[in-house]
Amino acid sequence: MSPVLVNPYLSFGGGIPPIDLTEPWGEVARQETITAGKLTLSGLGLSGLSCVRLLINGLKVTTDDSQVLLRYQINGSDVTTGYEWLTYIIGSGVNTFATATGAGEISLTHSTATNLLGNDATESLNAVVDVHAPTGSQQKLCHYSGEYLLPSNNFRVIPQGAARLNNAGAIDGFVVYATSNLTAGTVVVLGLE
Amino acid sequence: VTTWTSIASLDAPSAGIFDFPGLTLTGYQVLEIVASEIIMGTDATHLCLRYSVAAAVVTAGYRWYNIPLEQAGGSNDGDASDPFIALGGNNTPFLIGNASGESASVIVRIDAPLSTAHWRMASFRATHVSADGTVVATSGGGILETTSALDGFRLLASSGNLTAGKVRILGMA
Repeated sequence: MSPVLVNPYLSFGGGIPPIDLTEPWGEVARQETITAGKLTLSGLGLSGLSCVRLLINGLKVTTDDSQVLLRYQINGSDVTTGYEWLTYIIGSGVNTFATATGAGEISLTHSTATNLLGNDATESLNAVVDVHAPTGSQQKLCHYSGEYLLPSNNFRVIPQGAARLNNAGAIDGFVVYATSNLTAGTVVVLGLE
Repeated sequence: VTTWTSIASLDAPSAGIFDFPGLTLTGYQVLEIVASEIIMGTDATHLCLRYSVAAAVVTAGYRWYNIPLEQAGGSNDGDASDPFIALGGNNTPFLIGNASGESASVIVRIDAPLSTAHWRMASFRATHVSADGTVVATSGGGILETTSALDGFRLLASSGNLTAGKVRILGMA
C-alpha cells in the first residue's frame, strides 16, 4: 500500500485530508455531508493539477423528477453565470439531448420534465465529471458521463455531455445540487498533477 | 486495489506535437491519455492521435468514428482510412478554435496496448470550444489495423502546430 502523504500545496475545506497525489488520481477531498440540500466542497487547492475528476455517487433527491446540477466556485464563491452545456441521454425508449448557453450551472441530467432524476427508493444518480485545467487560463472545459433512473417508469438512462465555463479564474470548489434538496450522496474529488 | 500509474507526461508540446515514443508498456491492461487545455496554433483544425509501433510512428491504417454535438445539433463523422484518429469532429462547425480562451481537452482510453490478438482500439470523450465559439462535446472511437503491440503515442493538429497544453499517460495493470 502506498504511504499516506499530505501534499503541501493542497488546502481543503469540508473534506478529509488528501491521500496521495504522488500517484495519478489521488484523492484531493471528499464530501459526504449534505448541507442546505447540497454537497459543497470549498477552498480546494487545485493549483498544479492538470485535471480533476469528480466521483458523484448515490445521489438522491427530495422531489420526484429533479434536475441535478453542478457549479464551480472561484475565490470561494459560487459561479452563477457563464456556463454552456450539452447533455445527451440514452436508454430504453429515450434518445435526446438538452443544451443551454449563458446558464447559471451545468446540468448533469437532461433538463425537461419526465427526463430527470426520480426519487423512488431505488432511484439515484451516479456520475463521473472530468474538469480539465481547473486553474488554467482558458475557458474551463469538462465532460461527464453517468447513469440515473427516470421518474415514474424507473427506466435507467445514461447521460453524457460536456460543458464550459467562460471564465479564466481558478476553480477552488464545487457544488453538486438539484432542483430539490439532496437527501443522500457523496462527492469525491481526485486530482492528476 | 489496482491504481493508475504515471507512465509519461509533458507540460508543453515540442515542435508543435506531443510525442511519447518508445514507452515501456509491459504489464498494463488499460492506458489513459489525459490531454488538458490543448491550444491549436491554427484556427478551425482538429486534434489527432497516432500510435507508434516498434518505435516508429504509424501514419496510415486508422479508422475512426465520432459523434460531435453542439447547441445546434450533432453529426456523425468518420473515416475508413486515415493517417490518424480524429479526436473530435473533422468538419465545420465542429473544428477547434484558437481565439483567446479557446482550447480542447480529451481523455482517451486504450485497452490491451500490447495484445497481438486484435486491432488496436481507442475510445475517447472530448470537449472543445469550436472556431465559431460554441462548446462541442464529442464521444468516439478508433482503431489501427494492426495486431502489433503499441509502444508510443503522438498528439498533433490536423494542420499547423499545437502550441500549449498538458498531456499525461497513465496505465493500469
